[in-house]
Amino acid sequence: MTVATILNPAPYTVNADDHLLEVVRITLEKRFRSLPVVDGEGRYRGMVSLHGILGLLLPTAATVDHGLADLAFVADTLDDLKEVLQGFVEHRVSDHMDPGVKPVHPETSIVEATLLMFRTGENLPVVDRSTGRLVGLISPWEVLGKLV
Amino acid sequence: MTPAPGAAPPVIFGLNAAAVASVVFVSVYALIITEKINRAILALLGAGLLILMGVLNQEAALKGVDFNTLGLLLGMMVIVGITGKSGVFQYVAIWSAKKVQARPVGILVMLSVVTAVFSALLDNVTTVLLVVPVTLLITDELKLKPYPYLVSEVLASNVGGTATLIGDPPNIMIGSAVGLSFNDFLIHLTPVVLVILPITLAVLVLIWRKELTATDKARQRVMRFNEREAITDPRLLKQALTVLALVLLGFILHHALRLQPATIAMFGAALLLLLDNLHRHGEEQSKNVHHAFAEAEWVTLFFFVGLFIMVYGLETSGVVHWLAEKLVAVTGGDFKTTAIAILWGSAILSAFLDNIPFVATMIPLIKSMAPTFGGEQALMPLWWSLALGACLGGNGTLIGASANLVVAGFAERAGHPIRFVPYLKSCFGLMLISIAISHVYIVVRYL
Repeated sequence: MTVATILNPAPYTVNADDHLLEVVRITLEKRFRSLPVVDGEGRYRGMVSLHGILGLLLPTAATVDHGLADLAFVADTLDDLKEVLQGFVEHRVSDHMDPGVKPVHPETSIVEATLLMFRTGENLPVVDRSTGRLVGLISPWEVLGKLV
Repeated sequence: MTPAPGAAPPVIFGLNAAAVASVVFVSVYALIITEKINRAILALLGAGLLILMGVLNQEAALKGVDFNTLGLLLGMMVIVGITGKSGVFQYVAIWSAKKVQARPVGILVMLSVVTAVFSALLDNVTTVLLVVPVTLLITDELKLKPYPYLVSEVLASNVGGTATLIGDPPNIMIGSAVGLSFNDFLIHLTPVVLVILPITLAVLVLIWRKELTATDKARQRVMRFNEREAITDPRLLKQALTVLALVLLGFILHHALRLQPATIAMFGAALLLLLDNLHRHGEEQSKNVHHAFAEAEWVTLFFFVGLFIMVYGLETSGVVHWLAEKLVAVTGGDFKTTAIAILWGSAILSAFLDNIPFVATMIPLIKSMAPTFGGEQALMPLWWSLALGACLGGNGTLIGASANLVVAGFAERAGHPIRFVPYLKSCFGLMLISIAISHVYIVVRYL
């Protein structure tokens, strides 16, 4: 059985040129964890996630490889974090999406897709190999929903 | 060139051992400079080639490996790696920033001094790896460019490392090869470092003073940091500081105790590993020990192994002796000229080349000058010239020392790249100033 049989064929998508904070609002409102990003022609560009947006609130010194192991000594308040987020008001989705999230394809096996979701902890975009267009999304809900 | 007796078996195809050792060494050195292939791979390949081609046999090759240097480096890497987990480095960095009321100039000076002191007592690379992230956090909060701070810490780590036996790999190598004690370095190198560091910092502040300003609000954010929260494991902190203090005491007393520095460092590492794992069981203990050893810089250690063997190949085949004769001839056999030539030559070369292979080559070369200059004891100023030139020379360029590259790599990942040419413009002159001070020091004190 392949991903094509269980994928969500009409996922919510955002455009690479959309304002980042607007996407954050939508993500929160609709309780999404991550969203696929597409260009004007529906081609997959990357994923934008709440995890990535949380990272924007943190100092680079902690998020970079071999950075600070913890920030228990930093006493920034909610207002400080709000100020940090406001610094991204002009930013676009393309500035902060993760283009490294590798898509699966309609013909990918379900077990392989499940393994990838387990390893990355992310929903996976499903992309047509020949056109590069997003054709759906697969998440734990699609897999487990067929089983239970 | 006459090969030394005993070490060399017949060389393949009847080639001249000195020629083979020289070609292999120069080729490896050239490839290291291109940075296309990891230096540990190259050094091990070069060492292997010397054995395969018959310049050395395995027994002779192992005789060339300075296990005292390796043991000292490995032991200190393990100790510092475990100590770092306690959060003590972050604690000290934050405490020092708050001590100067989070004033940008004060922070630059304090963090540099902290880096220099840690680098003198620990390993340079680990020190900057632990101090630089806190620096980035502080400059982020102060809305300042981190560049002056990072560069200042690079310079301070190399200057601080020059002060002691264990501060920088060239000193470890020289100390081990010549039998110099921790106290010898304290007596002979620390005084000049105490002059060079403040002058370097003063020049840096002068250069960047206009950029070192922050708003009161930003400073308040730093002042709100609670350094006590940086200590993640108080028990480990106490254990690590106790072991570190014992190890440092061991270094100070190692001549009287008749112990080599490697024994002290490795025993300290084993003791700290024991203390850190007494309360752990089974898989958790295995994982923790595995992690502690994995933290060591194995690339550097294997690089040393290959390098020692290659240099031993040069030594036993007579190349080093020949080079020493040439160097003495160039300096006209004048001791003062030789000392100054070693100081400046080491500094300039170490700015552009890896100072570790350079020092590894210079050690037997200087040793073989003993008959010319009246015995081993008479060579002491040459050792101090080599140590000062090789350690301080590393400040001249971004590729001059491992700590420079580590900071540059971290800064790049954090989105604040340090480029080769701007660094050269800011720091090469500062390196020359430090060598000029060392020149005066060597002449006044020893020549």
